[in-house]
Formats: sequence, C-alpha cells, structure tokens
Amino acid sequence: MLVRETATSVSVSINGRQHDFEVEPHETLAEVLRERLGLTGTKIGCNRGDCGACTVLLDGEAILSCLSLAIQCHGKTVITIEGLENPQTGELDPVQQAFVENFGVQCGYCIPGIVLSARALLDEKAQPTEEEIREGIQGNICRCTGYQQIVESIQAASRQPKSANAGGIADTGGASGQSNTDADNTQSKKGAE
Amino acid sequence: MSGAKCRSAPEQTVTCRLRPFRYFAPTTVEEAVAALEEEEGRAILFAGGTDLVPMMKLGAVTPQTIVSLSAIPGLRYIREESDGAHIGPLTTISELRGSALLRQRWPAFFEAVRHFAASQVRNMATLGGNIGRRSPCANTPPPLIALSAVLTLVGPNGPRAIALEKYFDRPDVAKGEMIIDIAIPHPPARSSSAFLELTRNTGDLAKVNCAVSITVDSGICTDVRIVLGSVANRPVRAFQVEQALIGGPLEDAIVNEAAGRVVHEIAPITDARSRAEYRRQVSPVLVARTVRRAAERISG
Amino acid sequence: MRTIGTSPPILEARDKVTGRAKYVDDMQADLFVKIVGSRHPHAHIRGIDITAAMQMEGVAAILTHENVPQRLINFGTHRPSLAIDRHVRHLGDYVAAIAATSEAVAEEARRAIRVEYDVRPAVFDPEEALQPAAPKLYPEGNNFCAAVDLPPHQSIPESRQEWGDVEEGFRLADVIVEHRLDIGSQAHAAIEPHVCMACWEGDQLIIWSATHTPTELHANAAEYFDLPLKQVVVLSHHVGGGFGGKYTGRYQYLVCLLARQLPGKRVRLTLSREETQCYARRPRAKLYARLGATRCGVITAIHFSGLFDVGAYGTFFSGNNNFHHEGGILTYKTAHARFEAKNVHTNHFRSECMRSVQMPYLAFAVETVVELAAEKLGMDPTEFRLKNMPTTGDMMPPTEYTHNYGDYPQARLDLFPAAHMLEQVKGKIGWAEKWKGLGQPYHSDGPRRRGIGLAYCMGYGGFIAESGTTAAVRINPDGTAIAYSSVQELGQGINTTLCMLVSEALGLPLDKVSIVAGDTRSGQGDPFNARSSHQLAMCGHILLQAVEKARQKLRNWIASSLRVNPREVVIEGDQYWLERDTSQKFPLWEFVGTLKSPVTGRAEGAPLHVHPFVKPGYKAHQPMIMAAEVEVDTETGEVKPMKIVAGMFPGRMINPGVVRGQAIGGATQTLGMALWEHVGFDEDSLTYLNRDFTDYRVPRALDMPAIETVLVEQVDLESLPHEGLPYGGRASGEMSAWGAVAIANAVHNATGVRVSESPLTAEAVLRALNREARRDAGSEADREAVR
Repeated sequence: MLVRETATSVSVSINGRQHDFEVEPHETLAEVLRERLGLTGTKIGCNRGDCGACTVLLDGEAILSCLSLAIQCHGKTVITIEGLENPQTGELDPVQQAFVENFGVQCGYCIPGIVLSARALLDEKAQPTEEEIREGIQGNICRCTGYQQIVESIQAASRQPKSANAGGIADTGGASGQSNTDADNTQSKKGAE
Repeated sequence: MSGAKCRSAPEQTVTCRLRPFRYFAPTTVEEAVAALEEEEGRAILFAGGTDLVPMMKLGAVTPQTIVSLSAIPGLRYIREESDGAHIGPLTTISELRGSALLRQRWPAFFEAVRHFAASQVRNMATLGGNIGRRSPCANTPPPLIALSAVLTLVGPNGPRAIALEKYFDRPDVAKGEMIIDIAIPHPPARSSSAFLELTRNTGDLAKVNCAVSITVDSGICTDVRIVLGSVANRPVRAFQVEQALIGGPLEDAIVNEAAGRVVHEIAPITDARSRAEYRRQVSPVLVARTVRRAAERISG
Repeated sequence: MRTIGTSPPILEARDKVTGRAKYVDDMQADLFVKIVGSRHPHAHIRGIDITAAMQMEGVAAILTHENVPQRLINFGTHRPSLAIDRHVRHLGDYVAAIAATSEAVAEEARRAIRVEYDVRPAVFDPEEALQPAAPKLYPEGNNFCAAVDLPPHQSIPESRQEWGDVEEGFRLADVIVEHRLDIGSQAHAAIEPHVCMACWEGDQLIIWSATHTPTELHANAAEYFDLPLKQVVVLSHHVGGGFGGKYTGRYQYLVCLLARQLPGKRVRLTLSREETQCYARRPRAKLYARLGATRCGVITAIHFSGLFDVGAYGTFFSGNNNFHHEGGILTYKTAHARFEAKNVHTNHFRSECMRSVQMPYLAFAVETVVELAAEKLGMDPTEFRLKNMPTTGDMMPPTEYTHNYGDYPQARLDLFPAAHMLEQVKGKIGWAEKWKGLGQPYHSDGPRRRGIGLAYCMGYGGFIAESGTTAAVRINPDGTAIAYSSVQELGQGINTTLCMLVSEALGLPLDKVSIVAGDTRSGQGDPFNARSSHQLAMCGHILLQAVEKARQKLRNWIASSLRVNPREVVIEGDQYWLERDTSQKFPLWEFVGTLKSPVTGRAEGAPLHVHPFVKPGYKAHQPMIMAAEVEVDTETGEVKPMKIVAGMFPGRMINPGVVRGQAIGGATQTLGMALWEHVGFDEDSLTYLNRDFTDYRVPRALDMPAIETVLVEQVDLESLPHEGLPYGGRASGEMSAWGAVAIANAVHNATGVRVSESPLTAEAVLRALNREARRDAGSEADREAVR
C-alpha cells in the first residue's frame, strides 16, 4: 500500500530564481526539476548515480540530482543546464559554445551533465591540464564521442577569458559559501592546495 | 550514508522511484541517536546518500525512516590536533581529497580517496557513510585500519571510542550508535603508508584493495599493518604476512614469501567484478607491491 | 567546394547544449508504463492475477497474454512474435504491461501482480541449444528462423558463402593454422534508455519513439493495427544514442496497445537502465577459423565458421548474415573460401546488431589465424597482409551480394586504398621502432610488457539496397531550401551532412538549408533507416537525385523565361548560363527569387532487391585498419591501452569534424569490447551480472589512451556527384568499431600469449598467462624427466 507522508515546504534558488514548493521526502531533485518545474534539460540515464547525465550544480558543486533528495536542497542554489546561458541575450556560456564548435556533441544525452561538470571544473581551475579535465568529467559517461572532442571543447572553453561567461549566474550564490549546512571548520576543497 | 556499491537484488524489486519513507532531520547528535533507538532498527542514518539511494531504488534496503544528518552542525571538519587528525563524519570525500595535511601525513588514506568514483560522488559522499555502510569493497576502511584509526561513537549510553578494526568485527557493532569522529593518530617516526587497488577500469569499485602502514628502521621492518578489502565480508588484517615481515629486512624474496601467506587469510568470492581464484592469485602481488611502495616513501 | 569538406557544427548542437532538445522522456505524458518481466528464463504462464493491481487508484490499463491480440507482430527482420506470449523465453520476457497515472503507481501495481509459472528447463549455451535433447524454445526447435514467414534471404538458419573448394585450397597450402575463440557479448549501452510514447488521437496513431527505424516501425505498426499508412505517424526527432540497440521492438507495440485502450492519452514507457541493459546485446559467439598459405605467404584457403547465440527472439544481425558477412568474407584475396554461420536460440534476451555487426567476429577469427600463419612462416604479419589484401579494381569473388543480375555477374572492387592506409597506420603506431616480431614485446619493465598489434578488415562502403529509399527537396523563392528525408539522426550528424550536400549542390549557404527528418509525415522512407552506415551513401545519393530533379524544373523555368530550349540552359551550383555563351553567367538565386512558388524535386531508389553498384560493375567497400599499443602487467593480467590508431576510408569527408567523431567514438566502443564490456550471466542465481553502469564497464574519460585517426580520402572523379556515392562520401559510422582483435593482437605481442576469449579482462589474460606458464613448466618437467 502506498503510504502518503507529509509534504514539506522547501525554498530553493534554481537558475537564479527562488522557487517555493512542497515536496515529499522521497522525491529526488531530478524528479522535481524535470517533472515539477519542466526543466527537462537534466537527464536520467541510469537513475543509480553511475552515468552523470543528471549532474547539476548545487551551491557551485557538481552533484548527482538522481541521488539527491529534494527536501535536502532547501535554502540551496541549483544551476541546471538551462541556467547557463544569458537569460537576457541568449548568449551561450563559453563551455556551451565550445562544445557546439568543437564537436563535443553527438547524441546529446550526456551533454547537459557533462557541460555542467566542465563548468564546475573551470570555475575551480581556469586552466586545467588534460588529466585534470578527464578527472573532472570522469563521472560523466559519454557513449558517442570517445571523450576526445569533449576534452578539446573544454580546452577551447578554458582559453576564453572568464569575463566571457555569459550566464553570470554561476557567480552568484554558488561557490561563495552560501551553503547553510555546517561549514564550521570545514576544509573547503576550493581552498585546498 | 554513502559508501561503495556492492549490490545484488532480486529483479522485481528494482524501481526508478523511491518508495515513501518518514524523514527526520535532527539538529543534534542526541536527537539522531534517540531517533535510531525509537525506530528499533527500521531507521537508517543518511548523509550523502550515494550508496543508500541506489540501494533503496534497487529494493535492497527498505528503511521506514531516514534520519538525515545534514542539519547537525559541527560534523564536518578536518583538524590537526596533538594526537593526530580528527575528521568529522560528514566530511565529504572531495574535502578529504583536497587536504594537503592528509596527503602528506597519511598517503594511504589520500590514495584511497584520490580516485574514489568521480567528482560528483565525491562531492556528496562522506567518510562516515563510507565506513558506516560496511561495504566490504569500500576504500576508506583498509587505509584507516592500517593507520590505526579510532572511531568515536555516540549511542543511547553516551560516547565511546573503538578501534576502527573492531567496528567491523560484527555487523551489529555500533547498532543504534552514530559515528561522530574519526581519529587518525600521527604516524610514528620512520614510517609511511600506501594504498593500491585493482579495478576493472577506472572509477570502479575495487576487485581487491590493500593498505599498508610500515615502519622501517635501519633497513629492518619494526612494525607493519596490512589490510585488504574486497576479499572477505569485512576488511582483513593480514596478520600472518605482518608476522613474517616484522623483524626482518625488506628484501624482495622475503617480501614475496611473506605476501604469499595472505592467501590463508582471505576468503574471496566470485562476483560481477572478479573471480575468487583471480583474487587469490593477485592478492599476494598487491600486498607485496603495497608494502614496497610504503617502504620506499620512508626517507633517509 | 564551398561546403563539402568544411566542419560546421551539427545542426542540433545548440539545442542539445542548452537543454532545449526534447527527447521522448522529456515530453509531456499522461500515463506511464511499467513492464512485468518473467522471473524464469523458460516457462509457460499458468495463470496471472491482476485484480489487485487493476483496483489500485491510478492504474488505467493492464495488458497480459490473455488480452493482447493473438496476432504476430511482423518485425520484418527477426522472428515475429506476439506482443505478450504465454510462453516466456528469457528472464524479463514480457508477462504484463501496466499503464498508470505515475511511474510510482505503476511500480506499486507491478508488485501486486501475481503470476504462476510452469517452469521449463532452460538452455543458455548455444552449443547445448543445438543438441536434439535441448529444451525447445519453438516447436520447430532452436534454429533461428527455421520455419518462419520471412523473405527467403532473411529466413536462413544458417548462412554460407563459398567459392572455389576449400578442401582443395588446404591441399595446396604449405602451412595450415587454425584457432577457436569465444567472443563475449557487448551491449549497446546508449545513455538514453529505450523509450516510446503513443497516443491515439482521433483516427491517428501517433508514436514518439527513440528508434533507429521509423520507416519500419511506421509500416509494421500500420499493418499490425490494420491502419492505412496515412493514419500512423512516427516521430523520432532526438535519439540519445543507438548503436544498433533501438530497432523496432515489442515494447513499442505494448505502448501502442495500452494507448489504444485510453484514447487521447499519451502513454509512455521508459525502460530502466537494468531493463535496457537486458534488452539486447551483441551475440555471444563461438568462432573457428582455419587458414592455409603457401610458403611465400599467399593465402590458399580460408574457412570461417561461427555459432551465434541470437537469444530467445533472434535478431536483424543473423537475418541478414550474408550482407554483413560480406565485408569480412572478402577481406583477403583467396581462390578458395567458405564462411558459414549458424544462429541458434537460447533462453537469453535478444541478441542484436551492434555497431559493425559481423565484422568484429570475422576479424577476430581471421586476423588471429593470419598472425598464426605469419608466425609459422616467419613472416612479418603486415607483409603477409599486404600480400593478400585486395586493391582497387580487383575482381571480387562471386558472393550473393557482389553479383547483380544483368551485365555484371561479378563485380570489381571500387577504390580500395588498403596499402596506403596500412602505411599510414603503421607510421602512427610507430611500427618501425616498436615492432620486434610476433609475440615479442618492445619494452619490458619488471612484470610490465609493452607491445603493438594490428588488424585489418574490409567494411561496407554504404551502398546497399535502395528500393524504398526516397527523398525530396524544396527550393523556395526566399532563397532557402528544405530537404525531406527519412534519415534517422542519432547524433552521428546525418541531418547536417545531408544539408551540406544540398548546400553544395545548389550553391546555397548552409544556414539557408534545413531538413525535415524524424517525421514520417515528410512522406519519405528508407527501409534501413539508421542501419548499416548507409544513410550518407544511399539517402544522400537519392537526395542529390531529388536536387537534380528540382534543378531540371528550374532549367525549364529559366528556359521559358529566356525563350530558349531547356537543353541550352546549364545550371551549376549557384549560377546558370546558356551553353552557347559561357561568358555570361547569372546568379541562380536571383532567378529563384522571381518565382511565385517553390520548386520541388523528389527521387526514389530503383526497385532492386540486391545491393546496387556504386557505378556499373563496381562495388564500394572500404579497407579498415586498426593498430594498438598496450602495456600488460603479467602479474595481474591487467591490460592498459596506450594508443589506438583507427584507419578508415570515408572516401570524401563531407564534414571532417563529424567523421572524426565517428572514428574516435567507434574506436572507443572497440576498446570497451576488447577489454571490459560483457553482459555476464550466473546460471546458479539466474542473474545477469552487468545490469547497470556500476558493473557494465564502458570506457570513461580516464580510461582513454591517445586515439589517432587515419582518414583516407580518395574520390573517383568519374562517379561524381550523383552517380553512386554523393561527392565520393562513403560509410564511416561503423568503420572503427570492429577492431577489438587489434588489441588482442597487441596483447599477444606484448606477452607471447594468445587470449582466445573476449573481453580480454585481467582474469582472462592471467588465465592465459597461467596456462602458458604451466605449459612451460610442463615441458621443463618433461625435459627433466628425459634427463
């Protein structure tokens, strides 16, 4: 028998806009994004946290939305693939543009997740080595490209000046420590050597 | 809680949707422990969820209540203190990986988290979860045991310290208790550590993993702790190998002979990742290599 | 050339990087489907109780074997079957399908369905399945297609191609070698799971499907539901990868049947990753090859024999064995050859074509015995290959697909730059420095050995059956052109490539050309759709014929406006002129702008039932060569790929960026097939072991060695642009996904040991090294004993 549990109110910033809604504890962030909010850019490839197609940025960090409970995103900031481009001009984020121009895209199912992983990587390190790029996308399976043209796309994006970041959303409330979980004494990985 | 995924589940229970559960987000450790006691085994502690959520979707784990720990402050830290490192259970694998302190002082532990899955999982998974899920192929228990880590648990009767090794004695050790600190003592002088694993391809769970902490003085091994994962239903201390090494030089022939004894101490199975006979054949190889790598790191 | 040979981004790229592209699972749906799969690999359903499930709030309809039509679905390419059969033949075979208001409700209902089975003995091994006493999946036995209603060339339980007399060929040989291999089953593992949505809207059946084969689904669904074609629409705009796994399948019919009970509702099924992994895979195969050669290294005979496990329901792969064999069969010149394949059912889920189909199997077997022969002769294996490789213009032996009725009982090989490709590939792998002889590593470091290996195979050129292939183009007065085709875009860039053909042919900038595809309302069709790497060569060829027809009409309009005979008007690219005065050329598109309405052209393939020639008397095939460097840890058996060089012959790369992507992507799947990918099965627990990406190990970013490509371009100017291959462009989608044997050969050269199974996991390699060590120890003991 299905047991209905109490829904809880959460407030989450998604792509720069505050969203308030009720969720049940067992709803994943991926389900809420795709089904509640119509943000179908985030894909479900495996639903088990193996393929990375569901990757979104949570407070600036790449995470798997199919394994995240929506209820735990209260007060946090989410960026999905829809949030990367400039909402006024439609100009693409340099990572998106680079994927378009460098054949990083074939079937496209891994693309939203892998573009966001690349965005998170470049936000942390503007000029990654090839090894670092591959580590940064290691959690995203691509079955089409063999990764070579994806690596080249990310390398091309890394050569763009940061100010060319059309979206700008990733700069607001993301990595600047807005996490409301206990951050006392936390050794942030961004500050690590 | 997060951890490594070693799973098997009957076909029909596999789902794409989580089944509903009660959700409780305590704000103190005491509340969390009280919730565990109240639910009498039907509640599960939830940190990153990277192991638990897939298990729930597969129907392998069916909790009535999830006790989320993310609202409890003060559980996420890496601190260097006089007795060694203290790590909070909600510290993410990413944070561990980014710690220069851990990398320099406890290389086996750093190596175990370095290639752990991938960045998204590392951003979510926690040390407490990787230990608490009790997966035989988890990466963090072998190096932590080799490094003589000590857990602080809190239960209905209050806090207690327990060697990490003892935590794995039985599945019901720490029933109703929560990990609130993981302490790694400062390594002794003239010692170092190393971690190696065999996987199918990159980013995979280990077929076999091995962690070694070794002390070598004037060419003689004075102490060594060797722990293997994925070769039994819990991390295994290779006591016979240790005994064969302590007190002697680390010449190739001696190391190889000692490492060969590990086959008597492991009980590997055949599963999706590997075969029992393969694990038996490569365990001595891995042990010997890890011992050598750790020893090489000891300078002077 | 203004467009051909440039690398514009694919048309869909922007939509895909922004998340705007809607795949079928992203679309609005009303009801959601879950399938109840059989818990037993072989059983009859004695009874099924759906009462509790039907009473659940939110459950809209349930199908079982009791309420589906007792009519076989005709797939056209593999065994017809009922939508749900009371005889279930593999784990997960369809028992029921539930439509409900949410996936969660459907999953809840699934748990409430009670099934009683009469369990039957099951058979999992193809050799066992051949035995007379084996459990029977079909009344007539386990031979695939033994007694089914398929066209003769598709219903063969075995296929056989031979020429000359192999026994005679072996008698002529100075050396004979043979080998057996056990090839594991790779799965397609596209990131998008299988998905299908259907809605009966008024008198129309609309199907949204992530499929390779919209034309086939369209025709077969119309037939099954007794509808005229105009009342069925198949929409397949965005597909998240296929690689052969998304041909027409029974699950699409379950969705349509459920939707029929719920008119006006969009009913959708998305398979889970576990269901997707256990939907279809490459056949497990047991291969045998034997090769005879003279002491100078000339091949006198090749005998290949393969036993393929096609699973419980069969596959397109085996139904068209001969076609897909063709490449592998013709790889080497030899006067005597026999290639035979037997296809047998087992109680596993379906086998299906996967990228490059038969070629990896044929190459594995033949390229192993080629090296064994070279070893025996003390010859460099590339010299041995060079000696026996065909070249441009060679007469091909008479096989079913090389002859045409009419004037050409046998065909010649069209452009075939094999020797040139071999030289290039050898250069890139570093053959000169790194080749130390067969079974000889070029570098040793403790237990680690490095070696290189190479393999060669013949692939199809893309030119296959054209009857039923249609295309159209519409030239608009606003200076744009629209192509209409039933090519199926899967991410391989075919939509963009076809637009580039039109852009080139009409001298129109690419951004003025668009394409309507992935929608059967375009009125176009193609029986193969996205199969066999034929879309560029065939659909492109037909599309250019359509352009030519439109151009003819334009000539007529121009002639009428100039009051001349149309024969005097020449149109080339974006200009036209009169034949008698080539000094005055006029802009075509200015003229088009004066028209009051569009000009269209439509073309269809000739109604041939065999595969046409690229030009009269010539067949298009292509050499494919792959080289690999590996490092083997001889104490653990681990194989680390260091470098792969993929050699292909795309003829002329319409879009080099796209072709390179196919070459690297295919080589990556080859790597997976060689080292890590296999859907294993545990008979004791009746479990498939690799049902998710945790246990089905596809290559990831950190696994990748350097991959280099050798993409040879050669064009026969006599056959441009509309006769045969469009601008000389040939197949490229599958032409780097065949070469797992190159990696196996590299492992042999690194270690001196042959691993006769795939994938070459560390366990398999260590087993082979152990056997070798025991053999050495054994011979040492023998020598000791003798002393």
